Amino acid sequence: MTAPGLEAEVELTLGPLVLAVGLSVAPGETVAVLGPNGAGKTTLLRALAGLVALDRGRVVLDGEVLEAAPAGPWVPPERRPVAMVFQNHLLFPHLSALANVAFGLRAGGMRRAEADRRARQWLDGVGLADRGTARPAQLSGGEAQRVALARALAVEARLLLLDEPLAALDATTRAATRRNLRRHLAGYRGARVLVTHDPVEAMVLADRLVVLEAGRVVQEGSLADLTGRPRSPYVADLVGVNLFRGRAQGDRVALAGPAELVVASAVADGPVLAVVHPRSVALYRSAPEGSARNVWAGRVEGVDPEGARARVRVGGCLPIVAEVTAAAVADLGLAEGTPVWVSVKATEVDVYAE
Amino acid sequence: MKGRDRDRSPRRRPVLALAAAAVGAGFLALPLAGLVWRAPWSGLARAVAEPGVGTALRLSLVTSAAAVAVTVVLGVPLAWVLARVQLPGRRVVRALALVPLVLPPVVGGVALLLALGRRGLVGQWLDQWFGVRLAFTTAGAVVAQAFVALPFMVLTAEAAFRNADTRLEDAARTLGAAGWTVFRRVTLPLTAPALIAGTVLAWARALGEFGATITFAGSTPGRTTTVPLEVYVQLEAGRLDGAVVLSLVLLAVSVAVLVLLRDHWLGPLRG
Repeated sequence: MTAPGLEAEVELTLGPLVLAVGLSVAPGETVAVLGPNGAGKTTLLRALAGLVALDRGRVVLDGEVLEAAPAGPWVPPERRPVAMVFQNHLLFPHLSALANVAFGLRAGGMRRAEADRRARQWLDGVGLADRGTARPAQLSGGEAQRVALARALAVEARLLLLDEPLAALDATTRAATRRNLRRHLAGYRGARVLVTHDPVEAMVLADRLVVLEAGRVVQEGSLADLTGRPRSPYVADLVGVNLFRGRAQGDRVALAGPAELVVASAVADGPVLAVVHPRSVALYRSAPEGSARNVWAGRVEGVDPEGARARVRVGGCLPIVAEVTAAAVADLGLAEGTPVWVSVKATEVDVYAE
Repeated sequence: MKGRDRDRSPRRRPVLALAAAAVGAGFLALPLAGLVWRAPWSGLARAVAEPGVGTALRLSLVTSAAAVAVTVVLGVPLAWVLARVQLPGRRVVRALALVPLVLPPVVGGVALLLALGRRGLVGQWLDQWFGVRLAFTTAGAVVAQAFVALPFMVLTAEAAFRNADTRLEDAARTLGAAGWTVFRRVTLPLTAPALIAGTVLAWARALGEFGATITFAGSTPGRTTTVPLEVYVQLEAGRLDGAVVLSLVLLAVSVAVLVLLRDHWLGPLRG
C-alpha cells in the first residue's frame, strides 16, 4: 500500500526534450512546477493525464497504478480520475459555458437534467451563474478561464492539473482570477499540480515548489528554501537573488575569472554556490572606505524601477544586481553607463556546498 | 488595404496583361452566355414536359443523393484515418483517394466495369454469391457517381480533421470522454462546416457525372439515364430545347453551390 495522493516517476523523450522527473503530491497539497520555457512542465502534466505515454516510470494515484512503463498497466486519459485546466482555457467553442461545464458529467454517463443542474452550481461557484448561455467567444479571458476551472472541478477528480491557468490573462484579471483560483483550490480535496513560470503565482497558490530545468528537477522546497539556497542561475533569477558559482578556499570563494568573494561563514573547501541578496549590495559613486570586505568597480547596465525601489544591474568583473531605493537612484544619478563602486559585506554572502 | 495600396502605386497599368485577362474571362463567360441566350425561356414548361427530361431529373436527384450518402459513409472514416492515424502506406492510400480526380471518367467507368461488372474481378462473385449486379443498373450509376465524387469528400474532410485543434480533443478526454464520444461531441461539431462543404462539392460532382456512368451503367431511360446523359440523348435526337433546359438546371446548381460555399463554408477554410 502506497501513500495516498500522487506518486509519479516520469521518464520520456519527446523531440528534443528528455524528461526524467519524480513527483509526489499529498491529497490537499498544491505543488507548483516552475521552470523556463521548454523545461518540460506541460509535458509532465500531459504525461500525468495520460495524454503522453511514458517511456519508463509509473503514475500511481491513491495506491491505484494508472501507468507503469514499459511493461505494465496503462489507464487511458478518459478513465483516469484526473482533471486538467489548460493554458488558454481550451473551452469547446461550439458549446455554451454551461454545456462546457456539464461536458465531463455527461461523458461520465450522467443524465442531462442532472448534469445541467450540477454544472449550474459549479458556474455559480466561480461567480458566473448568469453567463451559462454564453459561448466561449463571448466570454472575457478571465471568465473563460473560470469556466474552464469549473469544467475541471465538476468531474471531481482526485488529481487536478493546472497548466499555466493565468498566463493568458492581463494583469488586473490575473489578480482577481488568482484569488478565485486560490479559494477553489483550498476547497479541493485531491492532489493538485500547478504549472507556472510566475513565482508570485506559485507563492500564492502552492504549498511546495518544484523547479524543472531541461527535463529535470533542479530544486524543490518552499519559496524560502529557493530564495535562501538557489541551486541554479534560473532559480536565483526567479526569486531575484544573485547567485555565484565558485570554489571555496578558506574564507575566500574563487569565481570565474579573476573575481573572488570574501565570505564570513565557514564552509568546506570545494565547489560552492554563493548567494547575495540584492538588498545587501551597496552602491557608491567613489571608492568607499569602510568595513566591507568585497569592493569592486563596475558600470551600471540598467535600472528597473519597482515601486519605491529599483533593481540596478551592474556589469564589470563581477556582474551583480543591487536593490536600492528610488531616492538613492536619484541622489547617485544612476543611469545606464554610470561608473559605480559596489560593496558587499562578507557576512552578507551566504555560501553552501554545490 | 493591400489592394488599395497597390492601386495607388504610380506604376503604369499592365495593359497587355489586362487584355489577355479580358480574353481569358471572356472565354470562360462566353459558353454560359450562349446557353442562357439560347434558352427557350417562353417554353420552359413545355421543354420540361418533354419525354425523358422529368424522368432524368428525378433519377439524378435520387442517384446523386445516394452517391453522396456513399461518399460520406466511405469518405469520412477514410479521411479521419488519413489525417490522424500513423499508418505505413498512408501516402499511397492518400494518392489512391485522389485518383478519380485526375483519371478520365470514362477510364474510371471501364475500370469499374472490369472490377464490378458481371465478369469483373469482384463482380463475378457478387453475382454468383449474392445475385447482385451493379453494371448497367441504377445502383451502378450510384457507384459510378460515388467513385468520381469521393475525392472531394476525402480531401475536404481530411484537411478539416488535420486542422481541427487536437488539444480540444485532449481536453475532452481528460473530462472522461472516450474515442467515439470525443468524435461525436467535439471533432464533428468543430469540422462540421468543412464536412458540409465536402458533401456539397461531392454532390455537385455526382450530379454532373457523365463518363463513368455511361460506361459502367449505360443509358437506360428511367434507370441509368441521369441528367448529363439525357442532355446528350436529347442533343443526339435533335431536341435542342430539352438539352438546353437540362443544361440550365445543371448550371444553376453549379452557380448555387459556388455562391453557397463562398459565403458560408469556404470562408473559414480560407483563413
